[in-house]
Amino acid sequence: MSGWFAKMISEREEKQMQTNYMIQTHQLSKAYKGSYVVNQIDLAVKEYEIYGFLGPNGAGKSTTMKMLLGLVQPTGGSLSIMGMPFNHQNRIPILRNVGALIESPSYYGHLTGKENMQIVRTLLNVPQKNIDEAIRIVRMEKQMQKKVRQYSLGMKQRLGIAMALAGMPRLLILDEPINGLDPAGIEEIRELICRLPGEYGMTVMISSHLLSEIEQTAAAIGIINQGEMIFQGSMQDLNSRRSPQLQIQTQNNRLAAELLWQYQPELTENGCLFPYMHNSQIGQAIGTLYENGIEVYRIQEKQRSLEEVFLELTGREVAL
Amino acid sequence: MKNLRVEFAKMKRKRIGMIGFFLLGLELAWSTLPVRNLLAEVVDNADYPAWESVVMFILTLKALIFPILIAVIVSRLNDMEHKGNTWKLLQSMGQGKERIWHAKFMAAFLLISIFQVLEAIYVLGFGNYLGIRTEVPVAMFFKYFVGATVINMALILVQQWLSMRFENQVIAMSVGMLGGFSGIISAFLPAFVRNLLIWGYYINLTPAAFDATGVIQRREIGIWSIVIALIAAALIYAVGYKQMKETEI
Repeated sequence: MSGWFAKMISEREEKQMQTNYMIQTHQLSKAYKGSYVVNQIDLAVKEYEIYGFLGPNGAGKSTTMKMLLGLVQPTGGSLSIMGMPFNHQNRIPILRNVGALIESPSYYGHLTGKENMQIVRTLLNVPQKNIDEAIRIVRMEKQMQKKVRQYSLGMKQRLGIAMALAGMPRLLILDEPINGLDPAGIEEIRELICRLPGEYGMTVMISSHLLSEIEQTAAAIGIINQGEMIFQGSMQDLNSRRSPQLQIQTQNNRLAAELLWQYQPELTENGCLFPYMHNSQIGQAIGTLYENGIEVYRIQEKQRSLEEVFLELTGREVAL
Repeated sequence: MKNLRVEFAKMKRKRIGMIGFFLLGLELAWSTLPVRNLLAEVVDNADYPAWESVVMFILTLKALIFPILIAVIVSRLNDMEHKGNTWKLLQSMGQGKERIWHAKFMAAFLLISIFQVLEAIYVLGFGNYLGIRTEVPVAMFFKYFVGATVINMALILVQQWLSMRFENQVIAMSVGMLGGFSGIISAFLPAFVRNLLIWGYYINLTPAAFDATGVIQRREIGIWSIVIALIAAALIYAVGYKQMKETEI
């Protein structure tokens, strides 16, 4: 890492002491023709973290991100970035510190990668070393002389990230950056995103409809569904919702469920399914079944997948 | 200035200059042939409106060619943003659509003005080549040049609004071509109909016209068509600027 870059990061670390949240929204909403696509969401993204913004297609992720960038005007609520309210006066100072890749990558296909980066450089008024560093971060040094329309989707995506990084922003907003990539491309982008907070002092907000993707990159997560925020917290918080269930298969499952009603069983075709139970509760339950002459065939713990937790939260059958 | 520099950088490999030179060459060549034959015998006659005839023929063909030239250039400038999905990128870098509206207008206006200047130089050069004895009527030439520049400006703004507003450039190109067609047709239309079509305003600038006997006669260039074109340009610019500022991406 070059000297000027290390200095910049150290300055950022000092600033971290003053500001805790990179993004904060309060009751942020957006309605089109009276129908809310984003409804009163309260985002809280801490500095230096990777925040995963998860939700099925059409949940309101892109609209929220567009509001964070001033591309779309909120219908209601407020938002602040780096502690500054996002208003007309602060718009440019905020955007100078934000890099973004929204939906599909943006580029001038008839120009080379280098020429595209030069356009970004002129618009952002940044030194050439920023451009060189951004290209190095996305490992595109050898592709810059090619016309962008000849790039693969993965290369276009990396160029898009390089453009977003050109201003060496404090906040990077990436909307579905792995969409359409092959497994190798996904791995490359994932590895790149994971390096950004530690090595370059950036806060990253990344959206996806793939839980597995967010799980592997983000430390904090927000889940949005039908425009409403249904969960926000750390990955640990979300994992804690995965507490194991207990499945007991007996000679007479219906009677067993009636006898053990206080543990809130769910009758399934494979037996009775109980929410998380302590060891003592399991002992008592088995004792009750034994006293009533019900033979127990099988007891097993069932770990819930994150997908199941997500489905429980969204209440929808969605592809993740 | 920064945005204007960027607009010119984006034009690389778009062959905008080549297309412009081709269409301007077509216009000049097309208008040169009849003028050359017509003026060959009267070029020594000091009373004959020779310079006015050259400008008249140029403007008549201009009414057909320039709307198409403007549509092609403006469409190329905007199509790359639609195809490259770059509106969001530019706006997230603090370049609002209204700034791009202004920068693209300036870039297109500068480019078209280069072709306008070349056309004016050609008029002077061609008149001298033919051996027209009289001095160039400065007032007529000034009205032709300024008027054409103002009409170019209004047409650029019409095309730019269409090209920015609609992703499908067929719409803007169709309007440009129909405009060119209506421009040349308007030479044969009554003045009040011609005045309704901005593309026909080039014809209003002609400093000469055929009379009923088929002889070319001088006529006064009405300054009002320049004024109307200027007002139209200012209005379209203001409306477009406001709309672009309010557009959400």
